[in-house]
Formats: sequence, C-alpha cells, structure tokens
Amino acid sequence: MSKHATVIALAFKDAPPATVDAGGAFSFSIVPAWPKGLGPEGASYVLRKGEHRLQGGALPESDKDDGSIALTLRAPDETGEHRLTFVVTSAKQDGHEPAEGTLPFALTAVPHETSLALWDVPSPVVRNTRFEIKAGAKCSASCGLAGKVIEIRDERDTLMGSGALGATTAPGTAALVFTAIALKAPRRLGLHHWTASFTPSELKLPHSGTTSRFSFVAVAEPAHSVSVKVVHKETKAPIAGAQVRIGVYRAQTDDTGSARVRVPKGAFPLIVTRVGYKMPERNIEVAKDIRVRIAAEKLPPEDPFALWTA
Amino acid sequence: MGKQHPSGTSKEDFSRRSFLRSGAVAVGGAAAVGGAATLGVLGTRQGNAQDIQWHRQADVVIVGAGVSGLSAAIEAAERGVSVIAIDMNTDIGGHGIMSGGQLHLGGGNAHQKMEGVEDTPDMVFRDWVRHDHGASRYSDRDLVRVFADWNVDTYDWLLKQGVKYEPGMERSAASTVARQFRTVEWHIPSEVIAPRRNRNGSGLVRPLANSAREKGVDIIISTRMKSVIREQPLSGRVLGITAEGPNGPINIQANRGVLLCTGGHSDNVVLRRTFDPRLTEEYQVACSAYSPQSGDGETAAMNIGASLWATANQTAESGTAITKTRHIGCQWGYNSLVYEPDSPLFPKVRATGLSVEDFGDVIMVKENGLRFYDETKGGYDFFAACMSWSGDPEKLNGGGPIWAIFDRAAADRESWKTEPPYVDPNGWFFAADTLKELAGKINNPYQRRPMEGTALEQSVAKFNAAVTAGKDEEFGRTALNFKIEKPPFYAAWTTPILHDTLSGLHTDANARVVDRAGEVIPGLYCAGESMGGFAQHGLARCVIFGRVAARHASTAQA
Repeated sequence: MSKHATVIALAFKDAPPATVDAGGAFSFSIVPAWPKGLGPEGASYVLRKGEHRLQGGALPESDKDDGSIALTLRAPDETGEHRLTFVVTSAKQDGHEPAEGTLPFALTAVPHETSLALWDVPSPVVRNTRFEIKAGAKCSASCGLAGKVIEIRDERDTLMGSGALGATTAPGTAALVFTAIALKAPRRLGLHHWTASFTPSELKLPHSGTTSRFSFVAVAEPAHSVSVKVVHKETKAPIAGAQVRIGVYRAQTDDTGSARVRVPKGAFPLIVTRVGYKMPERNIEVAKDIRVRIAAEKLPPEDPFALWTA
Repeated sequence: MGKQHPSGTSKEDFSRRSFLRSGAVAVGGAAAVGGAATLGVLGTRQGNAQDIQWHRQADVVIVGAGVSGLSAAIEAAERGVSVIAIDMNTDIGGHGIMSGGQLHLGGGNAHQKMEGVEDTPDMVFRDWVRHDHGASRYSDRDLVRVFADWNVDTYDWLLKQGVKYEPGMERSAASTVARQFRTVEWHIPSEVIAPRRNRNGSGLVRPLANSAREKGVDIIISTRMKSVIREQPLSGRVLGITAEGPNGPINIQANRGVLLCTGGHSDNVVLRRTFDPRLTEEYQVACSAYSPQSGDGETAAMNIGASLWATANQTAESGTAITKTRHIGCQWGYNSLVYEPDSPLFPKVRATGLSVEDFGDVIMVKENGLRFYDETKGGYDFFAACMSWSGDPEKLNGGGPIWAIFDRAAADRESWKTEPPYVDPNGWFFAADTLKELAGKINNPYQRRPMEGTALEQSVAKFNAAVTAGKDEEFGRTALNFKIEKPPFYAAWTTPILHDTLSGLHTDANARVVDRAGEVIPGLYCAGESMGGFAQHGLARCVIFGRVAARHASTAQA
C-alpha cells in the first residue's frame, strides 16, 4: 500500500526505444499530471528494476508548453529484456504529503554492435611478398576498444595475420581506433578475398563481433615497364589526371600526361579514362619495355536531348 | 504554309461561343470560396450573386507572374486593357528567375544576323516538327507554326521591354542552326535569388516585371489561385478566379479572360504520376525552393472540363524532365543551380551541395544499400534504373532514394568540404566511421526503412573487388580507378531531380484552353509550361505563348 496520499498521473509523450545498447543512453519524455497544490518544483525521479534502484535524481524542468519533461537515462549493463519502472516523487510541501507516480515499461538491452573499416589495401601485390593494411574498429556506443585484436583470415579460414587496436583514432573519424596489420601475399596468382574478424571480449559491457571482407590481386613479378602518354587529339597537349588501367594495374597521368607501370610479360587491356574525354580502348602485348600514346578526344558538353536515341 | 503574324489575327481564330447564359456559377477548384474576406466587394456577375462575391476585377486576369505571365501582362497592357496578375510566391519571376536565361529564338532575328546565322520562320517550323528528334516528334504543329512566326517579333519586343542579351549563339535541341542565346543577368544581386551562379533568367523577368508595372499592371504576390470560376461546372464562359491571399480569400473577376501561366506540374506528385507513375514523392524538383511547379493551372482547368494535350512529350525520354544531380548532399542539386550562402533562399535550401566533377569517385545505392547501375552514366536508361523497384514490399513505385557513397579519399580528390554550408546533415548528408555505421545513420523523410549495414558493406566490398580485378561484373562500369575504403565514409543525397514540365493543357493556336469535347473554353487561356503540345526547353515558348494568349484575350469581346 502506498504511503503517499496522492498520485501523480504519468504518461509517455515519447516512449523509450524498444532496444538499446547495454549500458547505453536512451531517451524518452513524460507528461505528468500534478495533483492540486503540487508541482514539479523540487520533484525527483527514480528508475527501478523491481525494488532495485538503478538511478535517480532531481526531475528536470520542462521547457515545453505542454509541460512534458525529456529525460536521458542509462540502460542496464546486462543484455536481455528488463521490466523497469520510472517513478516520480513530488517534493514534500507544507500541508501535503509527497505524491508519487509510476510508469512501467520494458526495455531490451542488446550487445553493442561493432563494425570495421579496412583501408590502404594495396592491389596488385606481387606474390609471396609482404604487404600491410590498416584495420579499424568502432563500437556503436563508442566504447574504448584499444588492445582488442582484429584477425585476418584467407578463403580457407587460415589465420594470415592480426593486430591489436591502438588507442588513437583514425584521422577524420569520431572514434575509430585502428592498427596496421602485416600480411603476406599468397603464391597463388589471381583475385583473393580475405576476411577481417573482430570478436571483442573482456570488455565491461557486452559487444557483438563482426567481420568485413577485402580483396586484392596477387601477381607475378614485374618484368617490363609500360609508359603511357595521354595527349589531346587535336592540340597534342598533355592531359594530366587521366586514370590508366593496364589489366589489374592502375596509375594516373602526371602533368606531362605520362604514367608508367611495371608489369609482367603478357597481354593486357589498356583503358584510360578522364571525365570529358573519349579515349580509345586497346589491348597491348608486353614482351619488352613499351611506350603507348593515347589520343584523347574532347567531348562536347552534354546535351540532354542528344541522349534520345530514337 | 499558313502563317499567323503577331500583329494580326489568326485565320483560324475560333468564333467565341455564346455561353453567357445566366445560372449558378461553378467553382472549379478544390478550395471552397467564401469566408471572411477583408476586401471590399465590387459586385457580382449577372445571375450569380448568390454564389460569388468579386473583390477585384480586370479585363485580363493572369495567374502566375513568371516568364509567360509577365509577358502576357505586358502584351495585354500594351493593348490598352486592364490587367491583374497574381503569384503564389512572395516575389515575381516563377522558376524563370532561377533559369540560366536561355532563349531559343530564331527566324532570322537581329542576333542571328550579327552572328552570321541564316534562318527563317519556316526553318524554325521545320526544325521543331522534326520526326527524328525527341524534343520535336510529338509537337502540335499548329502551335509550332505560331511559335515560329512570332520568333523575330518577340526578339525585338523583349529588347523594347529592357531585356539585354549576351553575345554568342549556339545550336541546341531540335534546331539545325544556332538559335539559343542568353539574357544578361540582372544587375542587383539581391534580386537574383541565386546570385553569382549565372542565373541569367533574372535578366529576363526583372525587366519584364518593371515594364509591366510601368504599363499599369497590378501584380499581387503571395496570392494563390484556388479555382477558376465558370458559368456552369462544365460549360459556359470563364468569369474569373478565386484565390487566397495574405488577407484571406480574394475573388477576381475577368472581363475578357483568365490566363493560366502557372508554370507546370512537376511538383504535383499526383499530377506528375498521371504521366509517369514512377515519379513518387522522393523526386525533388529543381526550382521548388523558390517557385513550386504546383500544377494549379492544370488542376483548376481540368476541374472545369479542360483536357490535357500531347502527353507523349512528358515521357518521350528526351530533354530535362528528369536530370542527374550534379550537386550532392543537399535537397535540390539541379545541374546548373547552386545557392550560395548569401542567397536570400539559403535558409530554406540549407546547403550548396558538393559539385561532382567525376561520378567515378562515388557509387550509388538505393534505399536498400544496393548498387543498381553504372554510376558514371546518365540519360533515361540510368533514370529507369534509379526508378526500378528496390524491393520495398510497401512501396512498389519510385525506386528511391538514391545515395552517393564515397570515402575520405574521394572527398579529397574532389576537394569536397564535407560540412555545412556545403552539405545538409539534417537528412541529406551523413558521415560515419564505418560503412555499417553509415547505413544506420541515414535518416531522411523519404528513406522509409532503415538501410541494412551489411547490405551497404557488401555493396562496397563487391565494388572494391571490381576495382581490384578491373571488371565490374554487375553493371559493366569501366571507370574503376578507386576503391571506397578510407574512413570516414559518406552518404550524400543524389536522387535524380525533376525539372521541365513538358506537357499540359490542350490549347488552340490562340492559347485558348480546349475541353474534353474539343471545344474552346471561352475566356480561359494557358501559356508556358502548363501548356501542352510544344516541349521546347527554355524560356522562348513561355514568352511567345504568353503574348499570344494576351493578344487574343485583349481583343476578345468583353
């Protein structure tokens, strides 16, 4: 039986989310109906699970016309469904016993999601040579992940390398901690899809693991150079910033319109692209160092009516 | 060829049918008329006192003070009749003021002579009825004939209104000789709306508005037409309009005619889906922030029996009815339209957008996180892919939103600043440390369901593998130069944006609106983008048919 003389009627204006990160913040707002003679001044709140007090404090003031009060509280650390009660108690005022209002609700606390980013992955990579990638991890609630390990496995799930996350965040990111992982390219030539996995443990709060995939091409040792010169078809002026692809090899032309790539012996498709230009595609045969000249045709500004092909 | 000269009367001029029977007035719009008008009541038309109270009257009432409406207003005023023009916006200009100022006028005008271009009205006609061009195949040739014959006169007429032209001329669209040139941007930046971005259309509408006012035209802004009043629901003469202004309802009687110059229907989702059901609400429209293409004219006219015309033009897959966004990460990223922070409209548009130099720097995904086409392509096959079903079981039409996904390295290559005022993080641009996190952050009014983080991760992993291998097995993209891998990652709104309205109301060669039985609706005219039958991009058709409509209305029996 309540020891309080009167009841504060509570209702949600914005209900709490159904799920929230374990130990993470969640928000909701309530609309209290104060008994006559009582008001929000000096009122307090408590978040309870059963009879256990999880947190509490002074009830924030409302800044809304409807008297609603916005709160941000912390979810329980344990995962799973929690049946909670939000309790508001008025201040004791002369002539009145404190009034109390209760508002039960359910909240499911879930493990923190983690996610990965993998960058500076070189490709192609000469077979049997060492290379390095960067791997970063992020917690959905921005928990510290320093020291936790990211593993790299090949297509057969063989561990190829690993690295412990550092304490600093990657440039430009909010909370992505990262590490460099040394790897060795396989002997088998061709495209490889490897997997990074992250299974953080021994953190204060539960976290789910995650995986992410990256790819690279293992190639034979280069034997010859291909020098590509890209020029304007009419003016013969060099075209800088053109993207050159020779099979799986990539380069960009410099201010002289030139790019140079070392490749093994063999036949390769040569594709050069640059916005605003039309370039001939061709196949090249590399048995020695060669030079290729590409004449780029300047395209007229796009005419939307020209797209009509009837 | 039969010709119609601007200064003459068409030999095909329809005789006005007598619909001036007394009877109840029909209100052909969605909104009810009445309420507490704060304006004085002038009187009522014979026999209609019980239904309509006229607050104002003029010989010619023009709805829409854009390019066609202002041109019509001047033409009517020059012919000595009284003119009231209303506009729903807080300023004149319609989306003409946001235009690049391209005028497509030939026929052997003085500009062409200066540029050494030989042309005749007959050549204009032949070009714009070409069967082998998307912009002209579905033309109503009666309208094109009028257009062709008014070209030279309109070139000179605009000069008289104070419009100035830039030198130079180019050939475009269906024209086989150079006919397209630009007006000079208005000299007062605060009146340009999007200053310093070649909004030369301001140099057309500002002089036109000044000329109209000098000639006594009463331009009433912030006033939106609600309906066109006709004697009977589907018959009789058009008597005027009802409108809603800052002070409440205002009903304006038109002694000679109502001219609908409302600028097309591209913003009206229901109406535009009449032509193409794929164009659901996520597709934004180029000039909406200033002047929505509301379809008010079409709707009000259809409510009193008007018909549409040459609807094939709207879906002919030619021209700029739909365009690829050039500026991403903002709500309105139309190709040539950028709002700088000093634009008076900037508080509404909120971001300049990131101007894309090379679409090879991004991939595009649908709301489901999946790629759907070669991102470096454009055109109507690209748009069709954008609008293809994304797999949302609750939304079968539409296909969007479309998001450009890129990484920090791409932003550096493009010299993009991924922060306000360049992007709008309030729903149109998102940044995150990982791709999975990025997908979870996308929150936009048109993103109906969360984007799955794993779907986006897999899309990028597949694309990166294509870059690595040098072959895009899924979509055949050949520009495969850069992976998307370096954090942070970004999602920028890049859903195709709509622009031209290319079809609208059925009119005769005098711009008189025609009903579903093929009969002229007496007293009702239409010009500009709300008019069907001639799908030329740009301002010239708006000027000419505004003048054509006004000339006929001014000389019609009151």
